[in-house]
Amino acid sequence: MKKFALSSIVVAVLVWVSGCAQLRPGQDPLVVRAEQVEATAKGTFDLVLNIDHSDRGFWRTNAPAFHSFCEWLRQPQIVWVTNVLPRASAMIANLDNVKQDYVWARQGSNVLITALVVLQSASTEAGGWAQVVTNNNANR
Amino acid sequence: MPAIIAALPVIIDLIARLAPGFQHLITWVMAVRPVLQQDGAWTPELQEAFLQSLIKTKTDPAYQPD
Repeated sequence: MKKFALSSIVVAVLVWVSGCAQLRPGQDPLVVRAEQVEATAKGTFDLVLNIDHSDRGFWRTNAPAFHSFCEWLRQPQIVWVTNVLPRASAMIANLDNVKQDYVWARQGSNVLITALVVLQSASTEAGGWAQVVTNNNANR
Repeated sequence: MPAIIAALPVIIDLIARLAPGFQHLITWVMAVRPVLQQDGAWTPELQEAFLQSLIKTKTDPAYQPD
């Protein structure tokens, strides 16, 4: 547990040291926000799916809700008309499509914000699971 | 500050060795760190690379259902 607390503090400090950048003039904050959500969601889905994949049997037995969430993220979904991607990637691809449409002025900002909120909520849920299972994992 | 940022990969590698259970968490930090420093929309190259990383998940074992 001490190791987890120490690591968490170090990770928080590293994020703080990295700092946040200001937008360059002329950049659309909504587009940048969408890209930040896409990249964060990709990293977070990678995190939870790799944790689950590292010992699927253990998580299936000891944290079935977490494993079910990971399986939900893995279900194949159709994107870009003919492609099939895991749901985790398909949700990100969907936001990216809406972002491109917004950039080319084919969609309004409301549609982009709605897509952004959907992905953000799934990413937040994944982040919550990561927090839960890394705590449990530290006590194994 | 640039020196600290340059040293980050080494520091993170050391933490990974001290606490092996947290390698996934550290990978997440490495993935999210550029997001904090993003100051504009992606270039076409970055956009393409990101889409390719999504397509690669189709064959990633961690993304395959039971």
